Amino acid sequence: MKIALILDARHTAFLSEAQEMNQFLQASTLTDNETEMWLFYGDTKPLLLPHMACPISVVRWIHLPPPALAEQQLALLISVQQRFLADTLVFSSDAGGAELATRLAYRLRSESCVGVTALLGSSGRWQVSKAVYGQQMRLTLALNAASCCLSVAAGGGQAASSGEFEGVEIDENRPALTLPWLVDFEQQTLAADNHLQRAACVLALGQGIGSAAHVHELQTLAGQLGVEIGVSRPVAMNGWSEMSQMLGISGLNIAPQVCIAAGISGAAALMSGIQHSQFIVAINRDPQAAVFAQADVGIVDDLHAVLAELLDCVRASRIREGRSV
Amino acid sequence: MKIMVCVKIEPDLSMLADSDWQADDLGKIDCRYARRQLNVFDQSAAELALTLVESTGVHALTAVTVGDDDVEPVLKTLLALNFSRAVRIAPPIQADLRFNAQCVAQLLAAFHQSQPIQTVVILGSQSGEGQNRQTGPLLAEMFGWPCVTQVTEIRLMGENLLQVTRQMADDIQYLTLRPPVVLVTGQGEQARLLRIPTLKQKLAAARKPLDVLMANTLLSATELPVSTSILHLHRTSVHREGRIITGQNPQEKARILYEQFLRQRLQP
Repeated sequence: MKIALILDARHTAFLSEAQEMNQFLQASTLTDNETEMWLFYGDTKPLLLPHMACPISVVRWIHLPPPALAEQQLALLISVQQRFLADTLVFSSDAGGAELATRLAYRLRSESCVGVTALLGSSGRWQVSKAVYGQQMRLTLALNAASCCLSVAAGGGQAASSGEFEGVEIDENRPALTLPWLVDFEQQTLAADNHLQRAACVLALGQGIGSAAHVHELQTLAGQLGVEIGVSRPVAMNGWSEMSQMLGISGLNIAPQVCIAAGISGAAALMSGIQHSQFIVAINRDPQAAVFAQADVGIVDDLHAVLAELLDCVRASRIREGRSV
Repeated sequence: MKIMVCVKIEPDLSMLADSDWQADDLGKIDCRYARRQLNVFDQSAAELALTLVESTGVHALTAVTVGDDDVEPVLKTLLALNFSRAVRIAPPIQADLRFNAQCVAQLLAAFHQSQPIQTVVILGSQSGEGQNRQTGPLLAEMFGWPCVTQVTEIRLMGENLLQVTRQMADDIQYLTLRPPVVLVTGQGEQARLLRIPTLKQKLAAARKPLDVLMANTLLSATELPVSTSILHLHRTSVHREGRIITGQNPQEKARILYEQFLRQRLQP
């Protein structure tokens, strides 16, 4: 069986997307496979490639010229697939990966599934697992097709280790598709701003925080200590924080060393965004809150009093150690 | 320009108690008592469509959903918010569409083909129940139209051009394009909250009719892939130790937390 791991090397999150694929490969039971990487690139190819959780027989480079839209990627993938016939085509977890997996499967008349954590079985008798019901439930589905296109589940943002690839690399350049419906295209590069995903310690705030004023107050205090603030969807939708700070199923997934979940009930939609954290602390007044069962340690008390003292402890400790605050 | 917004109306999953997360023999969760609401991802789609209509004066905005009659109050809310038409496609009896985006897309495509041409289709990225993320891309393939995802803004440019803004992880893109097109809204920081109708708008909408179409009037039984092969559906286990720190007051508990659990972990 041949597997194609399809990634976009132009993405800043290229290595993180590769790591999500590694998590998928480790959770899957795929034996006797030949695995290739099919990598889109723009002006240049990256010098280092991610270390994958299985041996890679060949890297196929696919040049993707501007505007680099999904319609172009699909046409290129169809062309490569027709030549090299992968049984399983695996895409990244982002919106682009989900779109490509779905549309490519439709064109190839194969099956597709999005947000997949594991693939079991073999050609014609696939089983895929994925989270459903706002991450509350795990579903296993049968896919009865000779080939399938999958996008993997999101991870916590950790990057795969990387190095020089020592195997076979082949350029699979094809003419780019023209897009008659596209009249004009402009693009502005965004400054890389993934502080929240790189932070060692994140304070995740839920509606229990009470008001925008409290969020801003903690934002200032936490910022001085190098602690990043993430929020639940209701907090962001109330306008108490930036939308870019939203965690969970409709926001970011993070994996810090420490995540302090304060004023959070434990709803799965939010918890899915912090579940990859190495250590989770829950602070909530309600001893029955579901968040405590999903945390390593918990404090049942007023979150404002606990956080004020906790941040004082961090500041005092740093002053004692001669570190800047 | 005629616009079709496809929405999913689903139970508010946050209302379910811990004990409710138990699938029955058919792999179904009993959510009957949970109130129905517009899927959060589709709220952005509806709001973007309303903003486009307001700015252009175009008023041919249709909301379509596939669902049982318990979704109708939410459709009435969309009528109150300036949607000119709200349509419910009643699914085939016993059909389980939760994880079957192919079937949902086929019904929506069949409805679309039965109507005067609607050249812009807008929808959210996924439902809360199935988390399928496939309906928009599938509709684009069924229509043979382009699909633009992660859309944050839509503006009319001249006679029949749209400028679509999409926010990606690394850049913001501005596409000037000629419809027809399927537009899928972004999530996360791109999400928008749907406006709330006034009482006057609600009262006016109460008198407006909803359109109800039976699935079998759009497609024959043989054309619909109504079954998915669910093998297991079980509760996700995310349990950790959950050790509770005790102390005389919150300050003491915080100090214990820092000294015993966090000091070492927060070393640079």
